[in-house]
Amino acid sequence: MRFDDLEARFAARRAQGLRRNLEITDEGVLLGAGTLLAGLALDGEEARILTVLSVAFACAVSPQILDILGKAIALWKGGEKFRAQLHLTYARLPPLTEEQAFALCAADELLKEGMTPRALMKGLGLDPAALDALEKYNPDQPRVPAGNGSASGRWGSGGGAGGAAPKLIGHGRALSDISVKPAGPTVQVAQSVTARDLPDGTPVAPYGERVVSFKNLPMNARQILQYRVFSQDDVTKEWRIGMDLPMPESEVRKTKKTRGLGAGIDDSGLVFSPPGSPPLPDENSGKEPQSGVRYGNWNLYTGQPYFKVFNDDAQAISPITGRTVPRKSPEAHYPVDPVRSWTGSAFNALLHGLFGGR
Amino acid sequence: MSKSVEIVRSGKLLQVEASRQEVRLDFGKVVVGLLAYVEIIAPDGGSNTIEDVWECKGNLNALWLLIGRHMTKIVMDEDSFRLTFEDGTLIRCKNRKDFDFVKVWEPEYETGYPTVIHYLSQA
Repeated sequence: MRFDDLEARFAARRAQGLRRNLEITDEGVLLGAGTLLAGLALDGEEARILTVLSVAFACAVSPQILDILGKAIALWKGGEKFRAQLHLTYARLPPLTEEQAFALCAADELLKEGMTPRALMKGLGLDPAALDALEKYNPDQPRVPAGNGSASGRWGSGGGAGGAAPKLIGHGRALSDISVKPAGPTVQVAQSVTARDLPDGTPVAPYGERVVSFKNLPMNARQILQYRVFSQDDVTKEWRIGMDLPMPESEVRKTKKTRGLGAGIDDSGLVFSPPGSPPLPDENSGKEPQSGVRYGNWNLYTGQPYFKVFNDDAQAISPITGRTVPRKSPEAHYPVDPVRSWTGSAFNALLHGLFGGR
Repeated sequence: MSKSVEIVRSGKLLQVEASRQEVRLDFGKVVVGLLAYVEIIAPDGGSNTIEDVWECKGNLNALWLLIGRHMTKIVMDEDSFRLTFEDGTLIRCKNRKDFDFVKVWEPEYETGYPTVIHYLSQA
Protein backbone atom coordinates (compact mmCIF):
# COMPACT_ATOMS: atom_id res chain seq x y z
CA MET A 1 0.00 0.00 0.00
CA ARG A 2 1.21 3.48 -0.86
CA PHE A 3 1.12 6.26 1.68
CA ASP A 4 -1.40 8.12 -0.45
CA ASP A 5 -3.64 5.08 -0.41
CA LEU A 6 -3.37 4.91 3.33
CA GLU A 7 -4.41 8.53 3.67
CA ALA A 8 -7.39 7.96 1.39
CA ARG A 9 -8.42 4.86 3.29
CA PHE A 10 -8.14 6.67 6.58
CA ALA A 11 -10.19 9.59 5.27
CA ALA A 12 -12.93 7.22 4.15
CA ARG A 13 -13.00 5.47 7.52
CA ARG A 14 -12.78 8.74 9.36
CA ALA A 15 -15.90 9.92 7.58
CA GLN A 16 -17.76 7.07 9.32
CA GLY A 17 -16.82 8.54 12.68
CA LEU A 18 -13.96 8.52 15.12
CA ARG A 19 -13.95 6.50 18.31
CA ARG A 20 -11.81 8.46 20.70
CA ASN A 21 -12.19 5.80 23.38
CA LEU A 22 -12.23 2.03 23.33
CA GLU A 23 -15.57 0.54 22.36
CA ILE A 24 -16.52 -3.08 22.44
CA THR A 25 -18.94 -4.49 19.90
CA ASP A 26 -19.85 -7.89 18.51
CA GLU A 27 -16.90 -7.45 16.17
CA GLY A 28 -14.40 -6.82 18.92
CA VAL A 29 -12.74 -3.81 20.52
CA LEU A 30 -12.65 -0.82 18.21
CA LEU A 31 -10.68 2.38 18.45
CA GLY A 32 -10.10 5.36 16.21
CA ALA A 33 -11.34 5.34 12.63
CA GLY A 34 -12.83 1.87 12.71
CA THR A 35 -9.58 0.15 13.62
CA LEU A 36 -10.24 -3.25 15.09
CA LEU A 37 -7.86 -3.25 18.01
CA ALA A 38 -8.81 -6.73 19.14
CA GLY A 39 -11.24 -9.34 17.98
CA LEU A 40 -13.20 -11.35 20.48
CA ALA A 41 -10.14 -13.50 21.12
CA LEU A 42 -6.72 -12.19 22.06
CA ASP A 43 -4.69 -15.32 21.48
CA GLY A 44 -1.67 -14.53 19.36
CA GLU A 45 -2.72 -10.91 18.95
CA GLU A 46 -0.94 -9.53 21.98
CA ALA A 47 2.15 -8.21 20.19
CA ARG A 48 0.06 -6.61 17.47
CA ILE A 49 -2.21 -4.89 19.97
CA LEU A 50 0.66 -3.50 21.99
CA THR A 51 2.45 -2.39 18.84
CA VAL A 52 -0.44 -0.50 17.29
CA LEU A 53 -1.23 1.19 20.57
CA SER A 54 2.42 2.05 21.12
CA VAL A 55 2.60 3.55 17.65
CA ALA A 56 -0.63 5.47 18.15
CA PHE A 57 0.52 6.94 21.44
CA ALA A 58 4.19 7.07 20.44
CA CYS A 59 5.48 5.18 23.45
CA ALA A 60 5.48 1.77 25.06
CA VAL A 61 2.04 0.88 26.40
CA SER A 62 1.89 -1.39 29.41
CA PRO A 63 0.96 -5.03 28.78
CA GLN A 64 -1.54 -4.61 31.59
CA ILE A 65 -3.92 -3.39 28.95
CA LEU A 66 -4.12 -6.94 27.64
CA ASP A 67 -5.63 -8.06 30.93
CA ILE A 68 -8.19 -5.32 30.66
CA LEU A 69 -9.10 -6.15 27.08
CA GLY A 70 -9.24 -9.85 27.91
CA LYS A 71 -11.58 -9.34 30.80
CA ALA A 72 -13.81 -6.96 28.87
CA ILE A 73 -14.06 -9.48 26.04
CA ALA A 74 -14.91 -12.24 28.51
CA LEU A 75 -17.65 -10.10 30.00
CA TRP A 76 -19.00 -9.30 26.55
CA LYS A 77 -19.07 -12.95 25.58
CA GLY A 78 -20.93 -13.66 28.80
CA GLY A 79 -23.61 -11.21 27.74
CA GLU A 80 -22.56 -8.51 30.17
CA LYS A 81 -22.40 -5.68 27.69
CA PHE A 82 -22.63 -2.94 30.29
CA ARG A 83 -19.85 -4.24 32.48
CA ALA A 84 -17.67 -5.08 29.48
CA GLN A 85 -17.75 -1.54 28.18
CA LEU A 86 -17.26 -0.08 31.62
CA HIS A 87 -14.30 -2.36 32.24
CA LEU A 88 -12.54 -0.84 29.25
CA THR A 89 -12.29 2.43 31.13
CA TYR A 90 -9.69 0.77 33.32
CA ALA A 91 -7.34 1.02 30.36
CA ARG A 92 -7.24 4.74 31.11
CA LEU A 93 -6.17 5.62 27.63
CA PRO A 94 -6.55 9.30 26.92
CA PRO A 95 -9.08 10.24 24.24
CA LEU A 96 -7.55 9.57 20.85
CA THR A 97 -6.64 12.53 18.67
CA GLU A 98 -7.03 12.59 14.88
CA GLU A 99 -3.30 12.20 14.50
CA GLN A 100 -3.19 9.26 16.86
CA ALA A 101 -6.10 7.63 15.06
CA PHE A 102 -4.17 7.94 11.82
CA ALA A 103 -1.09 6.42 13.42
CA LEU A 104 -3.19 3.56 14.76
CA CYS A 105 -4.65 2.93 11.34
CA ALA A 106 -1.24 3.10 9.66
CA ALA A 107 0.33 0.70 12.14
CA ASP A 108 -2.51 -1.72 11.67
CA GLU A 109 -2.12 -1.63 7.88
CA LEU A 110 1.64 -2.11 8.03
CA LEU A 111 1.27 -5.17 10.25
CA LYS A 112 -1.42 -6.58 7.99
CA GLU A 113 1.02 -6.26 5.14
CA GLY A 114 3.48 -8.45 6.94
CA MET A 115 5.76 -6.13 8.82
CA THR A 116 6.72 -7.56 12.19
CA PRO A 117 5.77 -5.66 15.34
CA ARG A 118 9.40 -5.25 16.36
CA ALA A 119 10.42 -3.98 12.92
CA LEU A 120 7.60 -1.45 12.98
CA MET A 121 8.55 -0.17 16.41
CA LYS A 122 12.18 0.14 15.43
CA GLY A 123 11.32 1.73 12.12
CA LEU A 124 9.45 4.47 13.92
CA GLY A 125 12.21 4.96 16.41
CA LEU A 126 10.15 3.58 19.28
CA ASP A 127 11.62 1.71 22.17
CA PRO A 128 10.33 -1.88 21.85
CA ALA A 129 9.85 -1.92 25.61
CA ALA A 130 6.25 -2.97 25.20
CA LEU A 131 7.29 -6.08 23.32
CA ASP A 132 10.10 -6.82 25.74
CA ALA A 133 7.67 -6.41 28.59
CA LEU A 134 5.23 -8.73 26.84
CA GLU A 135 7.84 -11.45 26.62
CA LYS A 136 8.50 -11.14 30.35
CA TYR A 137 4.87 -10.56 31.16
CA ASN A 138 3.11 -12.98 33.41
CA PRO A 139 -0.61 -12.31 33.43
CA ASP A 140 -0.96 -14.30 36.63
CA GLN A 141 1.33 -11.96 38.53
CA PRO A 142 -0.64 -10.07 41.20
CA ARG A 143 -0.82 -6.36 40.53
CA VAL A 144 -3.35 -4.76 42.82
CA PRO A 145 -4.37 -5.43 46.35
CA ALA A 146 -7.42 -7.64 46.18
CA GLY A 147 -9.28 -10.43 47.79
CA ASN A 148 -10.23 -11.21 51.31
CA GLY A 149 -6.89 -12.24 52.69
CA SER A 150 -5.67 -10.58 55.83
CA ALA A 151 -2.55 -9.37 54.07
CA SER A 152 -4.46 -7.53 51.42
CA GLY A 153 -6.82 -4.63 51.41
CA ARG A 154 -4.53 -1.77 52.28
CA TRP A 155 -2.81 0.26 49.69
CA GLY A 156 0.96 0.11 49.54
CA SER A 157 1.08 -2.75 51.97
CA GLY A 158 4.25 -4.39 50.79
CA GLY A 159 5.64 -6.60 48.10
CA GLY A 160 3.25 -9.49 48.49
CA ALA A 161 3.62 -12.17 45.89
CA GLY A 162 4.15 -9.72 43.08
CA GLY A 163 7.89 -9.39 43.37
CA ALA A 164 10.55 -7.56 45.29
CA ALA A 165 9.88 -4.04 46.44
CA PRO A 166 12.05 -1.37 44.87
CA LYS A 167 14.26 0.81 46.97
CA LEU A 168 12.87 4.25 47.56
CA ILE A 169 15.15 7.18 48.11
CA GLY A 170 13.88 10.62 48.89
CA HIS A 171 15.29 13.99 49.71
CA GLY A 172 15.06 15.79 52.95
CA ARG A 173 13.45 13.34 55.37
CA ALA A 174 12.47 9.78 56.05
CA LEU A 175 9.64 8.54 53.94
CA SER A 176 6.77 6.43 55.02
CA ASP A 177 3.59 5.02 53.57
CA ILE A 178 4.19 6.23 50.08
CA SER A 179 2.01 4.30 47.73
CA VAL A 180 3.08 3.70 44.19
CA LYS A 181 0.69 2.05 41.81
CA PRO A 182 1.93 -1.16 40.26
CA ALA A 183 3.23 -0.35 36.82
CA GLY A 184 4.07 -2.68 33.98
CA PRO A 185 5.61 -6.02 34.71
CA THR A 186 7.41 -4.74 37.77
CA VAL A 187 5.36 -4.32 40.89
CA GLN A 188 6.33 -1.18 42.73
CA VAL A 189 5.22 -0.74 46.29
CA ALA A 190 5.92 1.56 49.16
CA GLN A 191 8.35 1.07 51.97
CA SER A 192 10.01 3.25 54.50
CA VAL A 193 13.61 4.24 54.00
CA THR A 194 16.01 6.76 55.37
CA ALA A 195 16.51 9.67 53.05
CA ARG A 196 19.76 10.16 51.22
CA ASP A 197 20.82 11.78 48.02
CA LEU A 198 21.52 10.10 44.72
CA PRO A 199 24.93 10.82 43.24
CA ASP A 200 25.18 13.18 40.31
CA GLY A 201 24.78 11.52 36.95
CA THR A 202 22.58 8.60 38.04
CA PRO A 203 20.42 7.84 34.99
CA VAL A 204 16.66 7.89 35.64
CA ALA A 205 14.23 5.79 33.62
CA PRO A 206 12.49 5.82 31.26
CA TYR A 207 14.49 8.40 29.38
CA GLY A 208 17.90 7.93 30.95
CA GLU A 209 18.12 11.56 31.96
CA ARG A 210 20.89 12.00 34.48
CA VAL A 211 19.95 13.22 37.90
CA VAL A 212 21.52 16.22 39.56
CA SER A 213 22.00 15.69 43.26
CA PHE A 214 20.13 17.94 45.63
CA LYS A 215 23.17 19.92 46.71
CA ASN A 216 23.95 20.77 43.10
CA LEU A 217 20.43 21.82 42.07
CA PRO A 218 19.88 25.47 41.17
CA MET A 219 18.96 27.43 44.27
CA ASN A 220 15.52 28.46 43.07
CA ALA A 221 14.60 24.84 42.42
CA ARG A 222 15.89 23.29 45.61
CA GLN A 223 13.02 24.03 47.88
CA ILE A 224 10.53 22.39 45.62
CA LEU A 225 12.67 19.52 44.45
CA GLN A 226 13.60 18.39 47.92
CA TYR A 227 10.44 16.32 47.66
CA ARG A 228 11.76 14.20 44.83
CA VAL A 229 11.60 10.48 45.47
CA PHE A 230 13.60 7.98 43.47
CA SER A 231 12.73 4.32 43.36
CA GLN A 232 15.00 1.58 42.12
CA ASP A 233 13.57 -1.47 40.46
CA ASP A 234 15.16 -4.52 41.99
CA VAL A 235 14.92 -6.45 38.75
CA THR A 236 16.02 -3.94 36.15
CA LYS A 237 18.09 -1.79 38.55
CA GLU A 238 16.62 1.27 36.89
CA TRP A 239 15.95 4.39 38.92
CA ARG A 240 12.69 6.19 38.43
CA ILE A 241 11.45 9.47 39.78
CA GLY A 242 8.30 10.24 41.66
CA MET A 243 7.09 12.77 44.15
CA ASP A 244 6.51 12.28 47.83
CA LEU A 245 2.81 12.59 48.65
CA PRO A 246 1.57 14.34 50.61
CA MET A 247 4.07 17.07 51.29
CA PRO A 248 3.88 18.04 54.95
CA GLU A 249 2.91 21.58 55.75
CA SER A 250 2.36 22.31 52.11
CA GLU A 251 -0.54 24.23 50.68
CA VAL A 252 -2.76 22.17 48.45
CA ARG A 253 -5.05 23.68 45.88
CA LYS A 254 -7.11 22.23 43.09
CA THR A 255 -6.37 23.58 39.67
CA LYS A 256 -9.33 22.23 37.78
CA LYS A 257 -12.77 21.10 38.74
CA THR A 258 -12.48 17.63 37.34
CA ARG A 259 -10.01 14.96 38.19
CA GLY A 260 -10.06 11.23 37.99
CA LEU A 261 -11.58 9.50 35.01
CA GLY A 262 -11.64 11.73 31.99
CA ALA A 263 -8.99 14.09 33.24
CA GLY A 264 -6.38 14.67 30.60
CA ILE A 265 -2.67 15.19 30.87
CA ASP A 266 -3.10 18.91 31.33
CA ASP A 267 -6.10 18.65 33.60
CA SER A 268 -3.97 18.27 36.65
CA GLY A 269 -6.08 18.18 39.72
CA LEU A 270 -3.83 19.37 42.49
CA VAL A 271 -1.01 21.76 42.98
CA PHE A 272 1.26 21.48 46.00
CA SER A 273 3.20 24.44 47.19
CA PRO A 274 5.92 23.17 49.50
CA PRO A 275 7.12 25.18 52.48
CA GLY A 276 9.24 28.08 51.36
CA SER A 277 7.50 28.49 48.03
CA PRO A 278 5.59 31.63 47.21
CA PRO A 279 2.01 31.43 48.49
CA LEU A 280 -0.66 30.16 46.17
CA PRO A 281 -3.04 32.76 44.77
CA ASP A 282 -6.32 33.25 46.56
CA GLU A 283 -8.79 30.54 45.66
CA ASN A 284 -11.35 33.02 44.38
CA SER A 285 -8.87 35.11 42.45
CA GLY A 286 -9.36 33.09 39.28
CA LYS A 287 -5.61 32.76 38.91
CA GLU A 288 -4.00 29.40 38.38
CA PRO A 289 -1.29 28.50 40.92
CA GLN A 290 2.15 28.93 39.45
CA SER A 291 4.85 27.64 41.72
CA GLY A 292 5.01 24.24 43.25
CA VAL A 293 4.35 20.77 41.96
CA ARG A 294 1.37 20.12 39.78
CA TYR A 295 0.00 16.63 39.42
CA GLY A 296 -1.71 15.23 36.39
CA ASN A 297 -3.58 12.06 35.80
CA TRP A 298 -1.96 8.65 36.07
CA ASN A 299 -0.26 8.01 32.78
CA LEU A 300 -0.61 4.60 31.22
CA TYR A 301 2.13 5.34 28.73
CA THR A 302 4.82 5.38 31.32
CA GLY A 303 3.13 3.82 34.30
CA GLN A 304 4.03 6.94 36.27
CA PRO A 305 2.13 9.93 37.54
CA TYR A 306 2.53 12.91 35.33
CA PHE A 307 3.63 16.06 37.03
CA LYS A 308 5.01 19.45 36.27
CA VAL A 309 7.19 21.49 38.57
CA PHE A 310 7.51 25.24 38.70
CA ASN A 311 10.13 27.26 40.50
CA ASP A 312 9.65 30.39 42.59
CA ASP A 313 9.64 32.48 39.43
CA ALA A 314 6.83 30.37 37.94
CA GLN A 315 9.20 28.92 35.38
CA ALA A 316 8.82 25.26 34.46
CA ILE A 317 11.74 23.20 35.71
CA SER A 318 12.93 19.69 35.11
CA PRO A 319 12.54 17.64 38.30
CA ILE A 320 15.65 15.75 37.32
CA THR A 321 18.11 18.49 36.63
CA GLY A 322 16.38 21.45 38.27
CA ARG A 323 17.13 23.51 35.18
CA THR A 324 14.45 25.70 33.71
CA VAL A 325 12.82 24.39 30.57
CA PRO A 326 10.39 26.05 28.14
CA ARG A 327 6.87 25.91 29.50
CA LYS A 328 5.45 24.25 26.40
CA SER A 329 8.29 21.82 25.85
CA PRO A 330 7.94 18.08 26.47
CA GLU A 331 10.45 18.41 29.28
CA ALA A 332 8.02 20.61 31.17
CA HIS A 333 6.26 17.39 32.09
CA TYR A 334 7.83 14.51 33.88
CA PRO A 335 7.98 11.87 32.64
CA VAL A 336 8.40 13.61 29.32
CA ASP A 337 5.09 13.80 27.53
CA PRO A 338 5.45 11.41 24.62
CA VAL A 339 2.56 12.98 22.77
CA ARG A 340 4.13 16.40 22.82
CA SER A 341 7.55 15.06 21.99
CA TRP A 342 6.23 13.41 18.87
CA THR A 343 5.24 15.96 16.29
CA GLY A 344 2.87 15.17 13.50
CA SER A 345 5.33 16.10 10.83
CA ALA A 346 8.07 13.91 12.25
CA PHE A 347 5.68 11.04 12.59
CA ASN A 348 4.39 11.39 9.06
CA ALA A 349 7.91 11.57 7.72
CA LEU A 350 8.85 8.34 9.45
CA LEU A 351 5.63 6.62 8.44
CA HIS A 352 6.02 7.82 4.89
CA GLY A 353 9.49 6.35 4.90
CA LEU A 354 8.20 2.97 6.00
CA PHE A 355 5.61 2.89 3.24
CA GLY A 356 7.95 4.30 0.67
CA GLY A 357 10.58 1.69 1.36
CA ARG A 358 8.21 -1.16 0.70
CA MET B 1 -28.03 19.39 44.06
CA SER B 2 -30.93 21.12 45.71
CA LYS B 3 -32.86 18.09 46.96
CA SER B 4 -32.30 14.50 47.82
CA VAL B 5 -32.17 11.88 45.07
CA GLU B 6 -33.03 8.31 45.95
CA ILE B 7 -32.27 5.38 43.69
CA VAL B 8 -33.79 2.10 44.74
CA ARG B 9 -31.88 -0.79 43.26
CA SER B 10 -31.08 -4.24 44.45
CA GLY B 11 -27.88 -5.83 43.45
CA LYS B 12 -25.18 -8.02 44.87
CA LEU B 13 -21.74 -6.48 45.22
CA LEU B 14 -19.80 -8.55 42.72
CA GLN B 15 -16.40 -6.96 42.93
CA VAL B 16 -14.41 -4.05 44.20
CA GLU B 17 -11.59 -2.52 42.20
CA ALA B 18 -9.30 0.13 43.56
CA SER B 19 -7.09 2.50 41.63
CA ARG B 20 -5.78 5.98 42.15
CA GLN B 21 -8.71 7.38 40.25
CA GLU B 22 -11.46 5.71 42.19
CA VAL B 23 -12.77 2.80 44.15
CA ARG B 24 -15.29 1.08 41.92
CA LEU B 25 -18.09 -1.04 43.32
CA ASP B 26 -19.65 -3.38 40.79
CA PHE B 27 -23.24 -4.40 41.50
CA GLY B 28 -23.83 -5.90 38.06
CA LYS B 29 -26.52 -3.57 36.72
CA VAL B 30 -25.22 -0.60 38.66
CA VAL B 31 -21.62 0.44 39.11
CA VAL B 32 -20.54 3.05 41.61
CA GLY B 33 -17.27 4.92 41.43
CA LEU B 34 -16.12 6.61 44.63
CA LEU B 35 -13.51 9.29 44.22
CA ALA B 36 -13.20 10.86 47.64
CA TYR B 37 -13.39 10.32 51.40
CA VAL B 38 -15.33 7.10 52.02
CA GLU B 39 -16.75 5.77 55.27
CA ILE B 40 -17.93 2.19 55.63
CA ILE B 41 -20.20 2.03 58.65
CA ALA B 42 -21.18 -1.37 59.99
CA PRO B 43 -24.63 -2.03 61.51
CA ASP B 44 -23.05 -1.98 64.97
CA GLY B 45 -21.69 1.50 64.36
CA GLY B 46 -18.09 0.50 63.79
CA SER B 47 -16.52 2.30 60.87
CA ASN B 48 -13.60 2.13 58.51
CA THR B 49 -12.46 4.94 56.30
CA ILE B 50 -10.70 5.44 53.02
CA GLU B 51 -9.28 8.88 53.60
CA ASP B 52 -8.18 9.69 50.11
CA VAL B 53 -8.56 7.62 46.99
CA TRP B 54 -6.27 9.89 45.01
CA GLU B 55 -3.47 9.53 47.50
CA CYS B 56 -4.21 5.86 48.18
CA LYS B 57 -4.69 6.38 51.91
CA GLY B 58 -7.03 4.18 53.83
CA ASN B 59 -8.20 0.70 54.58
CA LEU B 60 -10.04 -1.29 51.95
CA ASN B 61 -10.63 -4.37 54.07
CA ALA B 62 -14.15 -3.38 55.04
CA LEU B 63 -15.06 -3.12 51.36
CA TRP B 64 -13.78 -6.57 50.47
CA LEU B 65 -15.96 -7.99 53.23
CA LEU B 66 -19.05 -6.55 51.56
CA ILE B 67 -18.58 -8.62 48.42
CA GLY B 68 -21.60 -10.86 47.99
CA ARG B 69 -23.96 -8.63 49.98
CA HIS B 70 -26.93 -6.86 48.46
CA MET B 71 -27.47 -3.13 48.34
CA THR B 72 -30.94 -1.76 48.74
CA LYS B 73 -30.75 1.90 47.85
CA ILE B 74 -28.61 4.90 47.08
CA VAL B 75 -29.40 8.33 48.45
CA MET B 76 -27.64 11.49 47.36
CA ASP B 77 -28.07 14.98 48.64
CA GLU B 78 -26.05 18.08 49.13
CA ASP B 79 -24.54 16.66 52.27
CA SER B 80 -23.43 13.22 51.19
CA PHE B 81 -23.75 10.11 49.05
CA ARG B 82 -25.07 7.10 50.96
CA LEU B 83 -25.31 3.52 49.78
CA THR B 84 -27.18 1.12 52.03
CA PHE B 85 -26.85 -2.66 52.17
CA GLU B 86 -29.61 -4.99 53.26
CA ASP B 87 -27.83 -5.80 56.50
CA GLY B 88 -27.69 -2.12 57.40
CA THR B 89 -24.10 -1.47 56.41
CA LEU B 90 -23.73 2.02 55.03
CA ILE B 91 -21.16 3.44 52.64
CA ARG B 92 -21.05 7.19 52.97
CA CYS B 93 -19.08 9.81 51.09
CA LYS B 94 -19.35 13.28 52.48
CA ASN B 95 -19.71 15.94 49.84
CA ARG B 96 -16.91 18.35 50.46
CA LYS B 97 -18.14 20.39 47.52
CA ASP B 98 -14.64 20.46 46.24
CA PHE B 99 -13.92 17.70 43.76
CA ASP B 100 -16.26 15.41 41.94
CA PHE B 101 -16.61 12.57 44.36
CA VAL B 102 -18.96 9.87 43.09
CA LYS B 103 -20.30 8.47 39.86
CA VAL B 104 -23.13 6.01 39.36
CA TRP B 105 -23.42 4.18 36.07
CA GLU B 106 -26.25 2.13 34.63
CA PRO B 107 -26.78 0.56 31.21
CA GLU B 108 -28.39 2.92 28.74
CA TYR B 109 -31.89 1.70 27.96
CA GLU B 110 -31.53 1.29 24.19
CA THR B 111 -27.89 0.41 23.65
CA GLY B 112 -26.96 -1.29 26.87
CA TYR B 113 -23.79 0.76 27.08
CA PRO B 114 -22.94 2.38 30.38
CA THR B 115 -24.14 5.86 31.03
CA VAL B 116 -23.56 8.03 34.05
CA ILE B 117 -26.86 8.47 35.80
CA HIS B 118 -25.54 10.61 38.60
CA TYR B 119 -22.30 12.46 38.89
CA LEU B 120 -21.91 14.56 41.98
CA SER B 121 -19.64 17.51 41.96
CA GLN B 122 -19.77 20.98 43.34
CA ALA B 123 -23.13 21.91 44.67
